Amino acid sequence: MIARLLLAALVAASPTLAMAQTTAGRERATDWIAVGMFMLIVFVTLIITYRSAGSTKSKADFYTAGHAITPLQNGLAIAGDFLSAAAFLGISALVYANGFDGLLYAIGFLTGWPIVLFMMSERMRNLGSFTFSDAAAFRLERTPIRLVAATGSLVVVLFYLIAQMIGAGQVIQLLFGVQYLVAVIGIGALMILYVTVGGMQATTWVQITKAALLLSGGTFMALAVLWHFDFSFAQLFAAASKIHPKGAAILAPGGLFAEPVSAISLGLALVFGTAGLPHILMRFFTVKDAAGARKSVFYATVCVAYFCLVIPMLGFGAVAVLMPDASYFNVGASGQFNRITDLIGGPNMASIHLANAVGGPILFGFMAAVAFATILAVVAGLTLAGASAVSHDIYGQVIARGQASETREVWVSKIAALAIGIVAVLLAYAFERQNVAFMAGLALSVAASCNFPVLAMAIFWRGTTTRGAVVGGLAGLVASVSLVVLSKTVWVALFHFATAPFPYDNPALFSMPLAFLGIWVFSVTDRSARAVRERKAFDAQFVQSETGITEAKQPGLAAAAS
Amino acid sequence: MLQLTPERTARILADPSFKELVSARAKLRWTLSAITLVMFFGFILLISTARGALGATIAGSAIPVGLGLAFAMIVVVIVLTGIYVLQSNSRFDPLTRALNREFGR
Repeated sequence: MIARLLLAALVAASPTLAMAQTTAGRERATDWIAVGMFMLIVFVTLIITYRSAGSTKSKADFYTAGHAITPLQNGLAIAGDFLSAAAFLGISALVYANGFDGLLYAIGFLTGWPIVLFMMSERMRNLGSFTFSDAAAFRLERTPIRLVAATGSLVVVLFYLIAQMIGAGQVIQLLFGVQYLVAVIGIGALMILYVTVGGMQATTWVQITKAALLLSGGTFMALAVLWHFDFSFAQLFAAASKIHPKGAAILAPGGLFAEPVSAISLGLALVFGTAGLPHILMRFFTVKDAAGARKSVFYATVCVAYFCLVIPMLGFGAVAVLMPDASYFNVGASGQFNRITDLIGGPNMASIHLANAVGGPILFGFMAAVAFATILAVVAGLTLAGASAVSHDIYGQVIARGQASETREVWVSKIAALAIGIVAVLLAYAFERQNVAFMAGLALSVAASCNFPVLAMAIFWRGTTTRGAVVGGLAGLVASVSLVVLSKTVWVALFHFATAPFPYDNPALFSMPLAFLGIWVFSVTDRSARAVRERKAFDAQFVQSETGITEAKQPGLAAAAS
Repeated sequence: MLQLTPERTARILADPSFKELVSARAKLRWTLSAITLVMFFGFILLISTARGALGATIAGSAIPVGLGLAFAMIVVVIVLTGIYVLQSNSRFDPLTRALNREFGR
């Protein structure tokens, strides 16, 4: 049965099916080396899934791979979960188009990690078992807190997933010459398969494989670029600024952070959004204790930081290597071309073209396959996080009030993964031609304005009550979604109104403080008996969050007990 | 999940090594968080206010100041997380283990 499913997915995802059907020159000619590498990666991930299926039986196996992942493995998996195609292709494209500004974006992504390490990882691990709502609802009332946290999680997961799927569909269309719909369905089928058959175990190993491929491929390309310029940064930067249309301006800050309000708002979303991403927070539970969670975040931070150093090399390298060569551009009839926008496939393809330029068709095929693996790992992690929000938080804890059998909860989870996957494919298809730049930003803003405030206040502030957390969390969620709708990226770009009522691109500067304020005001004014009980329960939560000591005998939770 | 009983909570809260663990870790946690946030948001403010200065090259090299600072920040992030992990491994883990031996079941 499983073997037949695997075979079906392999066929669905196979680029050979639609290879003959190219439309209006939008798709590349098929590159057999790239297709071969792609098939190899799909094959390896399916083997991983098949092998994981046997060891995924209980709830703990399904959500957390039995808490048995080592910190190094988990650190790589976190990096694999976090470094999306948007980070790999998107940031190198930003560096290609704007130079320095792209690097700033990368630093914003990185700066969230120390905050996750210092404030979240250990306390989360000590208080929870499966999802971050476990920690948020530790001493607060189960039903309302779980509902708010699960809603925040699902909004984040769906928007992130759709943004990833649309980007993925377009990238795969370019790389392998398959149709958009086929590409999106193929990714959807593979991610549903990894999650439903292999659970967290398979998802983790897909992410580890991808992280290793991405880091080694990126390193190799950066070395090739530097070799090209005699290992001299000065020569690389000089060559890049000489050929780039913006000249030496690419080495200095440009427009991205020029306006302080937008800049700080984006910075807040990048930094605190990372600390509220459900698929990242969920990964802390795959290790055995708080010390393991801390070490895995350290390994992840090092990987992400290393990647932030490599990415600008690829971006600047692409400028210096590709821009002088007209064969990488759509050259107009007059022989003129724009060195940024006319790059074949758009600036997002900069690092892929660079692979071809420095390593020929073999490196091109490898990096194209790595881009594909990157997408698969991220969407699998997101699907699993969304499915556990539905099955563990909403079904297991709210509907069944903690009484559901393990088999039944895992079963609900698989159904939820299937449903989320299908919804994501349908929405990715519906939004294909839309400008979806707002979606990834919205996901981060909601994570920073709903998930993060609720979780941080619940685990750090004694005064937090259920009423405060629910009101504040919902206020942050509603404010961030509505401000994004009222901003230029949706109001003007999607609804075609003339001007946007909300003048900034990112709502976090307003919606995140609103959430904290809401939690504070509605907690201090809460005089109910429940509030008194919840404040009193903070001591027990505090002790457990700092030491991992629990009342019930649960060997997996004792921090550093071994 | 079962919560600790009030009696055990009170006993652990009153324990000197628990107090030491909690206050030392809180100090480290908030100091390092503050450094990280001040560094990042300070850099953003610097960009929006003193853009020109960041474009100038570092004396004696071809690397602009802003680019140099950006790469330095990446290294500082690794150093800060490294400090936290080293301190936790060497100071906080032994205290946590001792507390678990004394109060855990």
